[in-house]
Amino acid sequence: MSESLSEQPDDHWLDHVAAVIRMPIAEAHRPGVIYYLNIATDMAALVFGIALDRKAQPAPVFRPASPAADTDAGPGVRDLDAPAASDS
Amino acid sequence: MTESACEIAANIGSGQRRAVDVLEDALTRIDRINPAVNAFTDVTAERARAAAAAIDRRVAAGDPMIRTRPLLGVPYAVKNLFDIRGLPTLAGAALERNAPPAAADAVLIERLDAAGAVLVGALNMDEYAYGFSTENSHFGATHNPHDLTRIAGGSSGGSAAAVASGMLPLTLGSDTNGSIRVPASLCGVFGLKPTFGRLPRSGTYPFVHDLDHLGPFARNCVDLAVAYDVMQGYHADDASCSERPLEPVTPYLDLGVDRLRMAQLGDYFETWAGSDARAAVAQVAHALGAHARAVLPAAERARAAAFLITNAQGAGVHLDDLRSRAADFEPLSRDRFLAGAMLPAAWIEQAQKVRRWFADQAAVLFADHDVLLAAATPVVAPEIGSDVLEINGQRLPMRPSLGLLTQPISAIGLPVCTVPVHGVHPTLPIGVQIIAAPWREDLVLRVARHLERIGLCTAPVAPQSAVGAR
Repeated sequence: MSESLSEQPDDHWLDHVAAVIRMPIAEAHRPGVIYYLNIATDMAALVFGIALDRKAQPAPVFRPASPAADTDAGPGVRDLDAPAASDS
Repeated sequence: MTESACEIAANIGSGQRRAVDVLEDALTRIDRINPAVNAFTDVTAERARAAAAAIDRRVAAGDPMIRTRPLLGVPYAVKNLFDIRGLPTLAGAALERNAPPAAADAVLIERLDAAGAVLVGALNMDEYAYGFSTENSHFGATHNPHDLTRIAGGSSGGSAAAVASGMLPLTLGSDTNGSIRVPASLCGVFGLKPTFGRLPRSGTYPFVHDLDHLGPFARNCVDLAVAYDVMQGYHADDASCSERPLEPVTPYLDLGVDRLRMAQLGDYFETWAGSDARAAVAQVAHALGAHARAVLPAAERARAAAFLITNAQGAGVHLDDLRSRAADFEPLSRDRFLAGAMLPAAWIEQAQKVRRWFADQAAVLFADHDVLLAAATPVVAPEIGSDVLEINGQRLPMRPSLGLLTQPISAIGLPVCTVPVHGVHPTLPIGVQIIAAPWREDLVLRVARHLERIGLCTAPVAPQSAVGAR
């Protein structure tokens, strides 16, 4: 997907989504909410700017990957290098 | 207070000091300093006095088990998103003031108490941890002990300020996108954000389940490591908690850095570091002989992923209140929460995939490097109420931008120790992130300890003239 992800959120967009999720937006909050929706849209464009494989996995419950290779990090820590079965 | 946590424990264990005296000294300091700093939202003096008296009774009775507890009689406090038995868990929110009192302590409080530490209170934070400044509209801003006109950083601002001002030797905070590392940097103390999943979050108020970490603040590395060690261990109530065995780091702290392969993170991490931040990294890198440069590709996209996941999951936690009482939220974060509730699922799914991809890129980098260095904040502490900060000629919104350099790292759960550097700015400290591969807290603390031993990274108590204590 390209960086031109979507229209920038506007009042119409906000009204529609707010109604769907039953979350009324007070008039005073509308400018701020649209401001942050626009920031989120820019952020979404960034994450869609990476070409990922169709089989790329999400990380809903994230387990950080272990280092790709063993290190020469000195005595006393080598025994810590063995990754647990659930690490990745 | 200049006495370290370990010194306090040793002195109480040997009978040279009484826990009740250590506690009363701490309570006196809190009375004297906190009005200027506003780090505390609750002081649990009654509970603390009972705990300290119980310790003294057991020491006096010659109980051999009590003397060996590594944090015996050490006063500490926690960010107010930790459950404290008998108190409502505020999480920085006025909305929670009338919540039922917690029925039990958070697991990490239980573990610190089992190690002999004495809980003395709860600490200020950004509402629901959604911020980097601890300018809390309901509970007041926490002031930076090095300059009371400036922010302490956030969201664990009270935790960092309580240590930096000398009120306490040890506190706990949480870090979702930088909330331990940012205030540690701005307040000039050591802060440890362990690997995601290392320390259980059971009994704490969630912000973003996929990104929340807990960790300690201290003014020296040994205290930090000892506290971290006693808090390790699986707990079933946290679905993301790793089942790894205990991996104590304290025995390895003084192994030095001779054989470690270290590099400075370039590209994004230099672009968004101001002159003081870059100077601090350069000093640390020079001291470590870390002349190599490394690049974590697409760090700005990892930050974007963290932003979106935070926004959506954070809002999801509070959807009922956002629907019915949005006006009661903190004005500085309310509109962000409302927006987060509206994000399309496809954006969040892609953000999660990017996060996994970015973790794989980092794993490649760690094949050639044991430790990476980057500034913790783009600048030193801004003034309270600032809306804008300037980084290398670019003006950015202050509150979200303080996490520019921390978000990509926590997005993939890497362990980080933030070390304080004084002297690059005339009066204010700034921090450097010592980063390692997942589960290598031993490495980040070894490097931090080395920098402390050579005198480059120290965390002196903020001058009392700066704190403005009575």
